[in-house]
Formats: sequence, C-alpha cells, structure tokens
Amino acid sequence: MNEFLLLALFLIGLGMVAIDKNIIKKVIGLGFMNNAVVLLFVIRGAGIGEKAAILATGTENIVDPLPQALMLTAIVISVCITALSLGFAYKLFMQFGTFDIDEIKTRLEHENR
Amino acid sequence: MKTDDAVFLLIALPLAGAACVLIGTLLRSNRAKQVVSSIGSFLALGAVWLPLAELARLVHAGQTFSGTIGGWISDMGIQYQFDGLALLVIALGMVLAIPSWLYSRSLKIDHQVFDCIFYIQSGFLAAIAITADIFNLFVCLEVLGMTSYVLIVFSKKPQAYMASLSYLLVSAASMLIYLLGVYVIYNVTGSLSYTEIAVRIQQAELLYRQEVVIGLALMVSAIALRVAVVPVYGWLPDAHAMAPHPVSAILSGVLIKTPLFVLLRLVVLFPEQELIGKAFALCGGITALLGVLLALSQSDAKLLLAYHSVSQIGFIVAAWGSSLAVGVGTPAGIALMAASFLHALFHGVFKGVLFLSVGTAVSAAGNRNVYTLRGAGRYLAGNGIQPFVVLASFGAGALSITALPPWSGYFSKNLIVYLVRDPLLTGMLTLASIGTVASFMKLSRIFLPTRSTDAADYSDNIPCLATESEDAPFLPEKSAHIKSLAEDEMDIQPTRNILWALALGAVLCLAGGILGSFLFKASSELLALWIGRGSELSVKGAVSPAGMHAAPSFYNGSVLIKTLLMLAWGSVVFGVLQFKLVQNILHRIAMRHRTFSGLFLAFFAGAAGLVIFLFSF
Repeated sequence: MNEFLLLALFLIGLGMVAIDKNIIKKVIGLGFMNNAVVLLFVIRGAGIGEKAAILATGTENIVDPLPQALMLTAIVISVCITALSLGFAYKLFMQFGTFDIDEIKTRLEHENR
Repeated sequence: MKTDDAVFLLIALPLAGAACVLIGTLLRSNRAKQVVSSIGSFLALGAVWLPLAELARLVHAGQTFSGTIGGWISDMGIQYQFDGLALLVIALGMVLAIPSWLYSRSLKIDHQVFDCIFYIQSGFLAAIAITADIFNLFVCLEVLGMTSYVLIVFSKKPQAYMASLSYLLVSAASMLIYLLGVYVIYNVTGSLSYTEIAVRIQQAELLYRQEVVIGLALMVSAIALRVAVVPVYGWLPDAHAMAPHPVSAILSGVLIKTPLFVLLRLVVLFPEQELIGKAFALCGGITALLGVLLALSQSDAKLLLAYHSVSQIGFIVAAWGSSLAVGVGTPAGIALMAASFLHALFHGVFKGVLFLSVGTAVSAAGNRNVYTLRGAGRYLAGNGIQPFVVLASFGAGALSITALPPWSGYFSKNLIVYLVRDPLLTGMLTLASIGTVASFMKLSRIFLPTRSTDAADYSDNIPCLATESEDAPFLPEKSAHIKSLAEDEMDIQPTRNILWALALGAVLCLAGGILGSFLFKASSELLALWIGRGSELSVKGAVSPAGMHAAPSFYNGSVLIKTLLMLAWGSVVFGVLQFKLVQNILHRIAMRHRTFSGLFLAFFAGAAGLVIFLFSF
C-alpha cells in the first residue's frame, strides 16, 4: 500500500516537472519526486526491525541503518538542487518577467534570429 | 604516509585548492589575495600530478588500491578502488583542465568563484573515477552536475540560464530514477559496494532476474543521460553552446566522457553486460550520424560544435558498446575499449581547442552566425588577439576532428572503424565521418577573407535571415573598416593566456597523432590490469599481455586512399549543401520545435526501450 502511495507521489512530481509550464511548479515537482524516493528508502529500511540503530549494548531488533544514512545525503543534495534551480528561476524572471518556460524559450529563440 | 593515502590526495588537493581560493576572497589586501589563490591553483592543478605520477608507477607495476574509506566494515563503509581504469579517467580530466583553466584567466568573470567551483569539479572527477559504491556514485554525479550547472551560467547570458535550468531539471529527475535503481539493487543484493554486488548478483540472478534487470536499466539509463547518447542528448547542445568557452571545452571534453567510463565499472558487475553493450553500440552509431546531421543544419558556430560533441560521443559509445558486446576481457574487447578511451581523450583535446579558438573568433567578431561571419582573422587582429595562433589552433582541431594525418583524430577514428566489426555500425560511422568533413568545411569559412557573395547568397535563400543581414552591424561588406569592439562588449579580455591555451591544445593534438600507437598500448595495458584485478567480477574472458592487439599503423596505402575518398565525399556533401532546397530542409531541421517535455519523453522512452531490450533476450 505504502509503495503505491509513494508511486503516486512520484508520478505526480514527475508530471509536474515534465509537463507543467511554470518553473516554480517544476521545482516543487522535483521536490515531490525526491520525497517519494526518500520515503521509499526509509520505509524499506524500517521494515526489518523496530528499534533505532544506536550504538549501545543490548540493542536488538534494529532497523537497517544504511537507507536512513543514505537518505540524509540525498536530502542534502535535494536542498542544493532546489536552491540552485530557484536561483536560476529568479534570474530568468528578472530577465523575462515570467515563469512560463515555453514562453521564455520562444522569446529566446526569437532573440537568436 | 601510506601509499593508499595518495589516492585520496587526488581528491583532497583540488578541494584544498578550492578552499584556499575561498579563503582568498576574505582577505583584504590584494597581494595576499593573489598569493593565496595562486597557492590554491597550484594545489588543484599542479601538485595533484605528483600523487598521480606515483600511483601510475605503482599501478603499472601491477598494484591496485582498494578498501573502505575511513576503515568501516565493508558492508557499511564506502568502497573505493584505484586501478588502471581510474588512472585513465583521472588523467583525461587533468590533462584538459590545464588549457581550459589557462583560457578562463581571460574571461570577464569573478575568477575566485569560478576557480573554486572549477577545482571542486576536478576533485570530484577524481572521486567519481575511484568510487566503487553505487550510492557514492550518485553523490559524485550530483556534485559534478551541480558544478557544471553553475559553470555554464558564468557566461551570464539569459540563454545560458535557460539551458542550465533545463539541464538541471532533466538531470536531477534522472538522478532520482538512478536512486530507484539503487533501491532495487539494494533490495536484491543487500549491498552497495561493487564487489559485494558482483558476488551476490550471481547468486541472486536465477531468482530475481526481473528485479536485477529493471534496477540495472534504471541506473544505466540515468547515467546515459549524462553521456548524451541518442535518445537522451537533447540537453547537451544548448548547455555546451551557451557556456563560457573554456567551460564548453571542459564539459564537452571531460564531463560527458567520465560517466561513460564510470558506467563501465558498474555494467561489468552484471551478466547482462553484453546486451547493454549491443544496445549502446547501436545507439552510438545512431548518435554519431544524427549528431552530424544536426550539426550540418546549425547556423550558430558554437552550437554546431556542440552537436559535433554529440556526434563524436557517438563514436566513443559505439566502440565502448562493441567492446562490451564481444566481452571486455577478450583481446578484441580490450582493444576496442582502449580505442574508445583514446578517442575520448583526443576528442577532449581537439574539441577543447575548437571551442576555444572558434569561441575567441566569435567573441571578437560579436557574431556567432557561420553564414554571415567572414574574415574572423581581421576581427581578431582588430581586438588585439594574434590571429595566426587562433587560426593555426583551429586548423589543428579541425584537421583532427576530420581525421586527417598526422593529427590525433586520424589515429583514433581509424582505429575505431578498423576494430568495429559490425558492417552496419562501420557504415554509420563512415557516413558520420564524411558529414564531419562537410561540416568543418562549412565552419572554416568564418576564417575566410571577406567576400560579399556568400552572405548575399544566403540571405536570398533563407527569407527569415534576410531581415537580419540587412541591418546586421557586423556584416563585413557593409562596414567600411573593421572596428574593434568596445572593451565592455567582448566577453573575453585579449590576454596572452588565450594564446598559450590554444597553443598548448594544438600541440597536444599533434602529440596525440604522433604518439597514438604508444598511448594505445599504454591504455590497453592499463585496462588489462583493471580486468585482471577484477577476476571476481563477471568480466568475460581474461587476457594475457601477449594476446593483446598490437597497435595497427594507419600510414599505409589503403587507409590513406580511404581518407582521400572521405575528403572527396565530404566535399561532395558540402557542395550539395549549397543547393537552396537542401538549405531550406536543413533550416527546417535547425528550427524544429524543441520542447522541454520532449527531453523527459526521450528519457523515459530510452529507459523503457532498454528494459524491453534486456527482457527480450
């Protein structure tokens, strides 16, 4: 069940990135996709145990610590990507006064001619 | 210090260089600033050769360095491996960094920020080459991606922001697809390190073939996007054409090749490697041909070069795929892989030279249109840049890419065509070579002395350009004398660094051609060492040094006649291009509507195609 919800989240994000014309919505969509993947890993890691993986004696039945550790890195990367893409979006907005990616492309092509 | 630590110096020195440059920005006095950033540059670009030379000696003596970073247990820690393949990939990046960095001195940008990001990129180019962990590979790919998005926008053109944003979105989305692949593989094997995966895949293959194939296809197609083969090449031309000239050189020269050779390490873990090889070989052939066709239709000089990068990566991928298809451990496989690497190296050098020389010319003229720009030499001289060096280095690059003796491309292109046995592939590559000749005849015209007929002819042919050429300020026959552009109009400063960078690149082009057989032998040996070390990987075949292909010589009658024929056909194609009908068709191709969603569609079509292809066998 969880997997299907995450798949839906992933696909919504993908649709936004691929189809939506607004750059900001594309960036949000990328965030959705990323969160879907992060949750997928975390749920997978949590599936095999119950307790937090802390180095202490007597801890048994721990979750798989690796996926969580990986996802910390993935989240950091996702923050960087979001910041950078919003920066680019800002620059483009300052230049063209719009977030519509197709309109910006058309105007750029027009300028080239 | 242990010798193993030398491996990490390759990453640490460029990062330390980046840190030095950043510290330099905090300093008040200009002199201290300069000293600190010079130290940074020296660490990142100069000092890093010392550990590399030492490691090269040890690797050549048969040693490999592998283990877990930080001494963690192997299931938890991040695995690394430095071997012949890593050495080759790192050397490729480091050789090309020098001319690009030299040239970047004359850009009108914030040098400290640029240098910092440039050095981080160099450091991660080394990191990605030695990583032996699928998640660490993801991190390295993302960092390399981020540095290149930022480097592209240093040209401060709105087109560059758009190109970089498109690249960012499509590549970040593909990296999430890669993570899904990691998820699947981790689920099946319970490990992230290459060696563990190789062992467990063989045990798990019978039970979980579907999962393994899907995971592999997801990871491979995400990395293929970075390599820019058909069908996922769409982001490359704009990004590479709009970047500052030295960044174009490094992106085309290094950043599309490194993921390909890193992918090799990953693919050989899986029994499906031969199928992947076949798929890539076919895609490579199509890429080579399509890239040249699109290049022929371009009017923007740098965009034309960017499409040639697509075409040349096609040659490299064709040889790479053929090598996997015949078994990368067999003598033929090693020879093909070495040929693929050599072409990657030589292409990096000559495409770097081309981007830098053509970039200098179009910057000086303030006009990027190959149909209207003529007499680029006079614009260069007018802006205080020695035209002879630019012209000579452009010649060196153009003769290399069109594969004329004794320049570097002659050896590597002929080697690939000679070693690839598949007649269909050979045909596609030969056609692509002919197209390259025609395309460079077209591009070379920007250096022709001013002639009024060319531009007038063209404006008759293409209606929509006619308006432009009437009021184009830089059309040679309209301007009475060549004015030098105002200082702030040109995006480069006419310093000697440009000439040094160009001369260095041109010399490397020639050196590649002359030392071709030696480099081929050396890279074959290094690849054989990598494969010998990876006996626990499922590499097909094992090669003894005696059984390796000797480097063939291409200075015999039949190859030279073939080259002449190729030139002749290239001229014919160039002649055909002058017809109005053909020009109209090409213009349509160049102005085809390219949407952002198309990039995604192509990516998913490619990934789905790969899955279907792998399942159909």
